[in-house]
Amino acid sequence: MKNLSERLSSLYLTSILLICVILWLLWGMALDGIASYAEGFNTMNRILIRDWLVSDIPGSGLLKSWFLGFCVIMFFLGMNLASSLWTHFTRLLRIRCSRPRFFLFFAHVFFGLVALAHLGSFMIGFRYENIDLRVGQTYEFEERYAVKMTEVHFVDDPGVLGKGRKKLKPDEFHYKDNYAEVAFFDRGREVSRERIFWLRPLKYKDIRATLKKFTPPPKEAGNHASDRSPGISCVISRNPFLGVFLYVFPLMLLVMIIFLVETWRPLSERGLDRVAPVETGERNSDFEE
Amino acid sequence: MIILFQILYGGSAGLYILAFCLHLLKRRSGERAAGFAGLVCNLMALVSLYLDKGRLPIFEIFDVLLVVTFVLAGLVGIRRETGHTLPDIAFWAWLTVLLIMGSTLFFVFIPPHMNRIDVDYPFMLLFHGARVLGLAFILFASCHYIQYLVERNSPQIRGGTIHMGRNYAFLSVLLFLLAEYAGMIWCLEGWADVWHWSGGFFMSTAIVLYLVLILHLPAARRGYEKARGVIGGASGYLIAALMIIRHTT
Repeated sequence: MKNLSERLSSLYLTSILLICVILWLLWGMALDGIASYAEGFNTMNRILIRDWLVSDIPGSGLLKSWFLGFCVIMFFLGMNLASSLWTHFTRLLRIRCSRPRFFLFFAHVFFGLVALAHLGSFMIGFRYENIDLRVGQTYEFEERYAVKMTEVHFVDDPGVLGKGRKKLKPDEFHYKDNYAEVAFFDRGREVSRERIFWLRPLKYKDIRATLKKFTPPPKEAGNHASDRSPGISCVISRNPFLGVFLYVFPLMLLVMIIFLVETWRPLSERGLDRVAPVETGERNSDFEE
Repeated sequence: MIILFQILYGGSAGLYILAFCLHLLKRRSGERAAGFAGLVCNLMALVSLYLDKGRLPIFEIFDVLLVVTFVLAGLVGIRRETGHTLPDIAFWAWLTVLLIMGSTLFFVFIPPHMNRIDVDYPFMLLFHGARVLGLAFILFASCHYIQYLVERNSPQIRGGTIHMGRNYAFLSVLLFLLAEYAGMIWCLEGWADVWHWSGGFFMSTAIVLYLVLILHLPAARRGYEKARGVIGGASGYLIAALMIIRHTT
């Protein structure tokens, strides 16, 4: 059992698995360069992976195989991380607990949490993409929530809206001035009303209404002013793991910075070159203390 | 403004070449003076780019490489190592500065393709800026790993060189991770997701994992130490090539 645990926590295994993930990602980059697969990846972005996996979108077979292979490698990498954390944890308890070792341990714990949050956000929550709204229109979802667009404020020429965001120039579209006001309802009761800009969504608990783009006014506009104003296309999403990303990730960076500062000088300059190597035998001069 | 930029660009390239030549001749004070003058010209060239375009020079590949030469030349200037034999770390670093400076010539005539409307969005700036700095640091780490491969049979020097290589590689990991964090928030606020299945995201993750691989290679066997030298030595150039391909395709 100990032998299996040592093998699973081995740095050799870590290295091999990291090389596998890198090669897998490079394969993904190559697939993304082919138009049909790039469209497949776009579909993965539009819905939760949980829903994409069970969908029968034509031509997604190779992408599903690619994704499942990716998951298998990540599973083994996760096992490798978990068993090395356990080995490090028991070592921290048995041998002297040096500060760098302590910070290194927590950097890996935080990395594991961020990776788990990624996995969770693929499977849990919801995502409604391309919700087109005009002033006065409402979108209901999850049988209890609703979003209503109450006002739009657009200072630029609506003619530029057909161009697509990547082709717009800063003087053609002022993203800090154009906004839509939306009201958020929970079981019919208005719980929030905010102006949403591009890069500034409405947030209610862990639900977000994100403005993706403004849409051109309808060609056959009515007499009312609101009929001639642009609409919006937005995404409504819920990611219960967002807190992990937003707060644990910087913590991981912080402990890594402390670790680097603590170990900047070589072991010989810190008078630690005579410290006995860890007893499992596998050494890495980068991380050994 | 363009003529001023050309003078500053040519001046910094010439001064870096002079610094490299003086390094080969072991004229350390002359090398430092030429290097410092080159740095000043490089900085002024970057400032003139900023004034001309009205945005930080971290988006177009030409600008990115010019920032990388500036940071790399600055790192050569503040290095602690004072080797008396050639090649040394500064030798590889000056060569890399000249290589990167030379490669900018391929991108002079590429018209700007970035019409960003969010050019002042802080997380977008942090994303691009941290990646540029990360590239400069990993190139400097590469120079250490290459030097380690050259001198690995000399036990007295070996530990220090590879340890400093590890330090700069670690700094680079931190900067690329910071870029990932900024990119995550940028993506979350603009597209309602922290991750996208796309070539750009795959490349960013592959870069971070490659850097993490350098730090995780076991050093128990001699063969693995050499492997670490090779993987670490190639890292900066591979990542630079990946970023250039990504910017130009």
